[in-house]
Amino acid sequence: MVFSSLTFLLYFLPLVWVVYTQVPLSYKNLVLCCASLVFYAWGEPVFLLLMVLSIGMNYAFGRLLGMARKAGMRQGLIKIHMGLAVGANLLFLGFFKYAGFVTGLIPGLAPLSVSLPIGISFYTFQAISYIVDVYRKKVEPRRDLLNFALYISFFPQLIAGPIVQYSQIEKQLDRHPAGFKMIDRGVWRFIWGLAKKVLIANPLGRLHTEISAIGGGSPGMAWLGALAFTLQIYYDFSGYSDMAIGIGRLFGFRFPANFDAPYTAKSVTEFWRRWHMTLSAWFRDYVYIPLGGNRVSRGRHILNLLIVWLLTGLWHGAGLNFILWGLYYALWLILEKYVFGDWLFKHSFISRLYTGLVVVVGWVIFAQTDLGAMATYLGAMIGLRPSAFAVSAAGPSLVRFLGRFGVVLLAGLIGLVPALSLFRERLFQRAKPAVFVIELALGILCLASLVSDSFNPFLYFRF
Amino acid sequence: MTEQKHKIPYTGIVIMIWLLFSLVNAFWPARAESEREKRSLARFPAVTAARLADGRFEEDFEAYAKDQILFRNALADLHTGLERSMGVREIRGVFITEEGALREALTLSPDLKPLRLPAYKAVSDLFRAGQRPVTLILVPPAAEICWEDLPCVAGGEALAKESRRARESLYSFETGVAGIECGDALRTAFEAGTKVFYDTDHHWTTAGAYAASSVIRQALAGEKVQEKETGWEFLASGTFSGSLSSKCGVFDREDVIEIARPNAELPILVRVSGEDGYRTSLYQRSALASPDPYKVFMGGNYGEVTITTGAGTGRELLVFKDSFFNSFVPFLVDLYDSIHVIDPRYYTGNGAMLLLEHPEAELMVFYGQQTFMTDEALGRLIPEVGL
Repeated sequence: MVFSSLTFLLYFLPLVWVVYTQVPLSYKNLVLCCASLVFYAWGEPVFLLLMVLSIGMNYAFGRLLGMARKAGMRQGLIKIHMGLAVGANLLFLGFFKYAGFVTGLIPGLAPLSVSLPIGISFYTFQAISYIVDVYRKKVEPRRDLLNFALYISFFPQLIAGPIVQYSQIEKQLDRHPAGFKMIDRGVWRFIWGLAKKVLIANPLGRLHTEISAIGGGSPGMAWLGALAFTLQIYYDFSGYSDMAIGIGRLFGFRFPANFDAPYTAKSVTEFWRRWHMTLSAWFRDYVYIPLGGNRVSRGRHILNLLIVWLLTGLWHGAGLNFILWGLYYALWLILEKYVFGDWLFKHSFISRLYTGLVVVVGWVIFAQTDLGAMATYLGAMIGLRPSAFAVSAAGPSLVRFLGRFGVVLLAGLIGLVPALSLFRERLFQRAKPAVFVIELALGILCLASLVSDSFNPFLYFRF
Repeated sequence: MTEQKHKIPYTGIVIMIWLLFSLVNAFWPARAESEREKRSLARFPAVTAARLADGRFEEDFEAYAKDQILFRNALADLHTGLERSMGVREIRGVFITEEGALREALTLSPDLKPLRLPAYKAVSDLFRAGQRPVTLILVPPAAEICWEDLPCVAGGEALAKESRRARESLYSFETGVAGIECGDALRTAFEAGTKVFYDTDHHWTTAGAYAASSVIRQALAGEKVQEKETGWEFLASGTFSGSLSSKCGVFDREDVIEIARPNAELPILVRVSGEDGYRTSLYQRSALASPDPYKVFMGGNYGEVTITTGAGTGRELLVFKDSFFNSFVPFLVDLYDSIHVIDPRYYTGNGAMLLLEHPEAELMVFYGQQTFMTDEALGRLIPEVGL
């Protein structure tokens, strides 16, 4: 189930919210937990077992860590215990996500076919954050299984984040009143997130798919496709995060923000402080800093960056292009840190242009999972015409793409302007009637778009 | 910045609307069919342990939710209207002209290799297997004939020229396959103000078929076509929204179907394989009241239809066709004693047997050019003949 499906919008969420608001306080978390498990099981019920196993396993690990500490066990043993717990989580993640990829790299070995449970990257990272925070004594091990299960499985952020570290939500699990203001903001945030996903990201996704199918086509088309993906992934991901945060508020939870106008960044370093912030925070807190961060020698620091970005790439997908993507960013981060970072900060326009180019090309690497297709596409961007693209008056053309997608593209670009976010916030604060109209209008438009996507005529007389 | 307090609970109203809509939507009686999309709508899926376990129930439920949502047509119209108001002139492969007519986008390959097209390969095989010439007639697409009407993003005259070149390359590729070019006749009629293609469908109109008939009849029989005033009567017989409306979701207008009736009507018998008895008309008027009024022409598409006429010409025709032929066949009945009409999509017999059963029949392949470019059914029917 996804947030932008009619099943979720018109059946699941209304039902869950009504039941949640009507049950006594002591049952609210039970309702949320059960709803989350149903949400996760929807479409892939077999992976519910994995989720339940993860919950049970990490709950037990956390309790055991607490008991070991209380029993006065040596720190070294406790650390081993923590390591085993983290290792078990990584084994889960590693098997389901990377077994096929790794076996595919071994010559003579048939790649293992393993289905990827949805959201496993997210909830495994959340579980690891819990284990490590318990180890670090940042939090106490959770005693009640129900609320721990809710932390791991809570449906708003289960399948696409934000990644919520346990310490950020610990107290909210016990008490999360959903007052009028929370719900007010939640609805506003959710509607905008839905609109970003359905009205901007989905059409631009189609544009990118069509241009990718012809290997990029002409240079103009290839850059258009790259721009489309750049916008698509932002609106899709940030839209989903907004929906998750909005839904969380409906139930009284405050989740951390995940995006902060990333395409306004003046450096790659800044970009990664604004993009998927919860993932960056997770890697910083649980990988980069334990490795020593930047408080080490230059050589060690560069190694730390390479490790973190290799893992970041791998986290995004089991593919050579994702590894390449991670290392691509590592390279730019290292160059900014040790070569031209200072110069860059003094030249605002050039730094923005440079960052934009690096990011757009980075997304091409990210989007093309086949290395050959990636090379073809990158080649198309510099004028090397792909074999899949034949120039035809009937075929795809830049003008034709702009005719179909130009307005959405323009809306996507305008939506990046920070002033618009400020305006939106001001509107929310000061003009409730306008907010009401906008919420209704966006809701109806999103429904219209979802229905239109399902338009499926049977062309009886096609032949 | 502090929020203003309002007496009206706007958010509460939004939530109430959402909940009410969801409730009514969940319990509204399901609809069986979509007249617009010409298909059955998904019903509530069967709940079984197996379907829940493998995800089929969940997938079908989403299809059900999308098909049965309240105000479905209105929502689809809203989306299409919004796109058009933003200047979008191409939706799902259909161009929308300034006047609101719909024209299907073309599929062309600039370096067309005829024998790589399954349908053309089949025509070539038909020539070899039948050991007699094959007449190939491809109806040009509306986007070629009416190219000036298209939005500027469509490709304009260059598109029209490329479409014509593709057709001409097929006509001239093989000596035993003789093409009859009817594009000029359609173009002349279009320039004279005749509506040669429907506004909501990819087919040509009866007037368009008539415009092409003069040059086709001339090529087949060396006979001048009779003038409309003395030869044919065109009767408006119904309205419909065609395939392109269904494809792109634009239902601004309807088309009028005309039936062409010759002033000197020949007696004919029409036998549809699988049906008992005979029909005495090429038209099935009862179809005009059905969801698919285009079926008025020959009653729709059948695997095999045999038309026996009193033409007395001693000629027999075996034609492999698509639906473009349905509205054209009345203009051929006086040229042949019998016409065997085969629709490869629905014919379940064997092409080699057909050739053996009709050893004297003239061979024809009659298709809309767009369909021909992507058709694979013809290739499955005609036996492959090695060179």
